[in-house]
Order: sequence, then structure tokens, then C-alpha cells
Amino acid sequence: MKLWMFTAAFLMILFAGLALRIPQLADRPMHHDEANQAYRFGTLLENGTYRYDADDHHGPTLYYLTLPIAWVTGAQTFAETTETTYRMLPVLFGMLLILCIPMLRKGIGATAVVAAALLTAVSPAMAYYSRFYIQEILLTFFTFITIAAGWRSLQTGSRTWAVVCGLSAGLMFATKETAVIAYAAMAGAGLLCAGWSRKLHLPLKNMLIAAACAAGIAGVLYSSFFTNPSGPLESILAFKGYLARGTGINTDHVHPWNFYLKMLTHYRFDGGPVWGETLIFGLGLGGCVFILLNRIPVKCDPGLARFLVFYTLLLTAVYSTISYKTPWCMLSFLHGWILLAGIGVASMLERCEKRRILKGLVVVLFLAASIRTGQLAKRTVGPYAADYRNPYVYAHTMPDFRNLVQRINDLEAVSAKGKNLYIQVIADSDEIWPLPFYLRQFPNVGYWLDADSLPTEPHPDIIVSSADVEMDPHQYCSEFYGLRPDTLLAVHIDSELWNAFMETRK
Amino acid sequence: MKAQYKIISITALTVALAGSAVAEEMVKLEVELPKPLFAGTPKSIKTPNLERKPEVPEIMVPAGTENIASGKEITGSDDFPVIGELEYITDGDKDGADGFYVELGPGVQWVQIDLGEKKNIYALALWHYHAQARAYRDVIVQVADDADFVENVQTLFNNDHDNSAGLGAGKDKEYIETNKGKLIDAKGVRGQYVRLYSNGSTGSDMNHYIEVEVFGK
Repeated sequence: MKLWMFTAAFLMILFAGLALRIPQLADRPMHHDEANQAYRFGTLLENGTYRYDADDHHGPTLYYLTLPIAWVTGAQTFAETTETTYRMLPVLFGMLLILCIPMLRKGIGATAVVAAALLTAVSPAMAYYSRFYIQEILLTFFTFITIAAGWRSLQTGSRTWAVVCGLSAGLMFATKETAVIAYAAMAGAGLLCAGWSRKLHLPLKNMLIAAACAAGIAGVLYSSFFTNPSGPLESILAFKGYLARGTGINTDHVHPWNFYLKMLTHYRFDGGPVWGETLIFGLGLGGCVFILLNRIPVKCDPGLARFLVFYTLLLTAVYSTISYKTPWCMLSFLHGWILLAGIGVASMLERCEKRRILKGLVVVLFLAASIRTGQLAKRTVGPYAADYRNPYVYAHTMPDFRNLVQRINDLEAVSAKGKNLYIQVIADSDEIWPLPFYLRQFPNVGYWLDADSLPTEPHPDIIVSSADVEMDPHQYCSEFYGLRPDTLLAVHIDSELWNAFMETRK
Repeated sequence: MKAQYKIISITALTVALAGSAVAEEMVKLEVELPKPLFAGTPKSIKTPNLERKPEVPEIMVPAGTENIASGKEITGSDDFPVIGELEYITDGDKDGADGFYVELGPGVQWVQIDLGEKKNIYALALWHYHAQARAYRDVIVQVADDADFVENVQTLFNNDHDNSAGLGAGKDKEYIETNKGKLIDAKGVRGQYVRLYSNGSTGSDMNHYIEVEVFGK
């Protein structure tokens, strides 16, 4: 492929990627997990301190990497941050994932790189989670860099690439402890490749350098730059909990083996549209066949191609076997399928090299299918971004929650107390998020688990509670709002405040 | 005059000072506000959950009272329902599954039942979409003598407490939908037309009806 064609194609792909990742970034209400993470970041932003917490917050990279974005946007407190402050980070890494695919140009060829970049840009799952403030897209990016840099080091003996590989591997673990699953898949793929070619090449010196860099960067970050010496050990001890969850103990997220397979192929719920990463999965399977039959393009390194096959299959199998499943966990192996799909496209085109019409047809069909996939991605990140029928929408905050927030803002506008309204939140911890994010500008908010532990004075202006809490209708006006599908919150508004609000509606 | 004013002022000041000497020192109440507790990803509920506890009032009606809305003509504010037909509302089927409910467009919408002639209405039962926990907004039920709702309009139920539907603020409580429906005491009002309003729900901006029963004779 000529350089100008490659450059032009890549620029268009980057534009497509941006078009699916940037617009209306703040429209979707914050997910429970996003708000949790944002709250943790808020503490780091305001106090300058972060301490690893093994209970459901994963590694520190998400928080540390958000700092530059907050600084650039001028946010100095949690209250000054917005949805965009947080979501710009996954957008950035989603775009970097596309931009860095050419690192494999010498390994899989320019055509495969362009195809893989296009599929990464238009994949509904990739686009959706590139707008989601959780660790997944960061983990996928660091995983890719580990593989790409590792391959480059293996090919050239370069110590620099070994360092990059090690740092990326360390950043994988510093992002999410479950990166060990990807490590295991890489090791397994390496062994299978060695068995296939009956050759084992172990550049021990570079491997040791990489391992040292990985341990070093992970240690620095988990120890919060040496202020929390027990952090790295706690990140290892956290595996006890993860192993239990992986087998379905102490978790609500137990799903059958074909949970991810349905999302890759055909997913439809409650009369909604049909979803699937069918183009990627189909071409990826084709890529597997071409690779294993050694019918890949001349410019494609067979060793790297086989590694990608084994790695992707192993990772998909492990994640499908683990009882604990959430949709965003599929990103890691989905990216493997994307790379295989790129090789699949390149292989098909090379086989049509001497038949121009057929080659043209393959290109047209691929582009048409990619456009269709992009249209599905547009619906995924747009009108269906918080719709429960979207497979990537999982325990998500409903659009109606924004009406709750608006109501509180309406009341603040008519109250002499303004943002100093006294708000009590009475609900279980899994029923309050993302409230702490949306009430971040109200300094007088307290969170109680039940009404028995409430202070008797002062009289709250607003109470937000689980739906089964009832208040005296003579003292409060009560309304319901949707938090998640099948989970409602009740808002109880002091009568005087309510009357003041109703005066403005006359 | 000035002297009298001076005496009153001095007296008032003396009383105030004496009072303050007796009263306790006042300080601002500081309440400890607990921070939110973190929690992991909540459970994703994508299956119907009908385990809710509705309040079903006990309504006494005269003997011979029956559902007088069954099969009656239905009209509505939305001429082209998004899903289903208006006729579903009085077809006697209260199943909440697909194919048994009508979906009207977003915003304030109404459906209207023509009872054929003036009737005494003792109770009304209505079912919105109930396969998920939802609370429909601005649920207003009215009875009138004419189809345009100008003559003898009587409101049986109104939980539009913020007057967002523009028909006046109501005092009735919002409620969460269940398969038991919402039973409303009509207290024997007399009218020919029954109109039911809603304005979306906690689930979405769309409006849904499964069934309406009007008990009278």
C-alpha cells in the first residue's frame, strides 16, 4: 500500500473514531461505577493523596492519569469537575489504541493495520467504552502496547522496546489486577507458538529488563509513589477476592459461558434492535483459518499471527469460562479479534491480487459492512447509550435520574439557602450512586443507610431515599425517580420549600 | 413625646438585656454528615420483577356493579400509537407482556372511554406497563358528560403535584406499578366519558396502558 494511501485512510479512520467518541460526551448519565471512580479521583485532586483500595476500585492509573485533564480544564476541586473531565481520559486512550496499531505494520502488513484500525474505530463496544470512565479501555491499550513492543523487541533485540514492553505490562497491572489473565494468555500463546514451530527463543536479558520495569512501575503506582508501602502487597492479596468472584462467590455478576459470545454474534433483548460485533468476529474467524493454514500475506509475520490466534482464543476461552462476567471485560479479547480480522481482510485481498474486480468487490463489501457497523456504533453511543436493551448497558443509571438532579437544582434555585440546602440520603450503598457525583456542589449532604440512624435535628430540606421509605405527607411532598431498571428512588421535599417552588410555576 | 419614646426604649432595652441574661448561649448546630459508602457494580436486572407490595384499598360498591368499560369505544390523544392499539385498553387482558399493551408517544397523553350513556361510577382500576418497577407521572383520571371534557368535569385521581400537565396540581400520591393495577375510589360520580392522563414514567418518556376497568351501573 502506498504511503499516501495509508496516511489518507488513517486520517479518515481517526476522524471516524473521533466522531463516535467525542460528541455529546456528557449526555449519558454517570454509571454507578463511573461515579465511584470520579469520587475517588476527587479525593486525589483535592487532597493530593491516593491509597490503593482493593475493594472494587482496581488500580491507580485511572486516577493518576485523570490529573492532567483536570489541571488542563482548570478544575481544582471535585465540585468543579464535570462528566467530560472524566470521560476525556477513555476517549484519549480509545484514540491512542487506533493510533498505535501501525506499531504492528511490519508484523501484519499495512493493509491489515488499516483494516484493524478501521474496525477498532467503528466497533460499537470499543466506541461505547471509549466514553466510559472505567479502566477497561486503558487496560486494552496497555495490553496492545505490551504485545506490540514485545514483538518488536523480539524481532530486533532492542532493549528500548523491551523497556516499553515492561512498562506497558506493569501499567496493565497498575490499571487492573485482573491483567494477570492477559499475562497468562500471552504466556500460553507463547508456549503454543514454540510448540508449533518447535523453536523456543528466550531473550533472557531483555525479558529480565522488561520484568523489572513492569514490577517497578506497578510498585511505584500501587505504593502511591512510595507513600503507601503496603499497596503493592495488597494488590497481590486482592487476588483472594478476585478468585472467589471468578468462581461466582460473593458476586451478582454470574452469567453463562455464552454471555460474551452472544454479544459478539447476535444480541437482542426485549424487542430492541439487534446488536453484534459480527463483522469483527466473522473476519476474525476467517483470519484464524488463514493463519493456521499459513495462507497469510507475505508481509505478515507467521509467528506473530499465530501468537495473536492463540492469545485471542485463550483469552476468550478464559473470560467465557470465568463465572464473573460484565460486558466491558470483553474489550481485551475483542481487540484480539480485531487484529485477527485485519489479517483476515489482508489475506482475502492478497488472494484476489490478480483478480481486480473481485478485489474491488471485497474492498467495497468490507467498507459497506464497516459503515453498517459504524451506524450501529452511533446508535450504541447515542440514543441507546443508557437503554437497557443495549448489551453494553449494564446496571446503568436511567435517563430519568437526570430529572431527579434537575428537581434538586430547581429547588436550590428557589431556596434562600441555595447550594447549602440540607440533603439527607437514606439508602443502601448500592442505591446511592451516582448521587454523590451529581450532588458534589452541595456541601450539606449526608448519607445514611437507614432512617434509624438519622439525627433528629436539623430538619432536612430534601430527603432522597430508597423507594420504600415514606414520609409524612403533611411535611413532605414525595416523588419517584428511576435510578436503574427496577430500582427507584424517592425524593421527599419539605413542604415549605415545595410551596416556594410551586409559586414559581404559577 | 420624646421623653415617652425614651422611656419606652430604655424599658425595652432593659427587658431585652434581662432576657438575654436568663437565656442559654446559642451556638450553630453542627451535624456530622456521613460520607457515601462505596459499593461494587450493582446487579444488572434485565428480567421482570413483580415482587412489589401494592396498597389495594377496600372499596364498597352497590350490588350489581360491573365493569362497564369492557369493549367500549376508546379514543386517545395519540392517533398513531407507537406499539399496539387503543382497543387493548378495554379488551379484558391484563397481561404485561409484549402484544398486550399500547404505547403512546412522549409527553402528556390521554385515553378516553365512552361509556355510551351517563353511568354511576363507583371505582376504576387501571394498569400501566408493570413488567418493571415504574411510577407513571401526572396520572389524572377525570369523568365528564361530554367528549370534549367541558361539561361537569370531575377529577377522581390526580397525582400531578407540580402541575406539569397543566390541569391543576393534585394531592394524590405517586405509586409504583404492579400487576395488581391501581384501584381508585370513584365515589359514585355520574358521567359518560372517562379520561385518563399520564406524562411518561420513571422508565421513559413514553406512555403505556394495558387495561382500564370502570366499575359502575
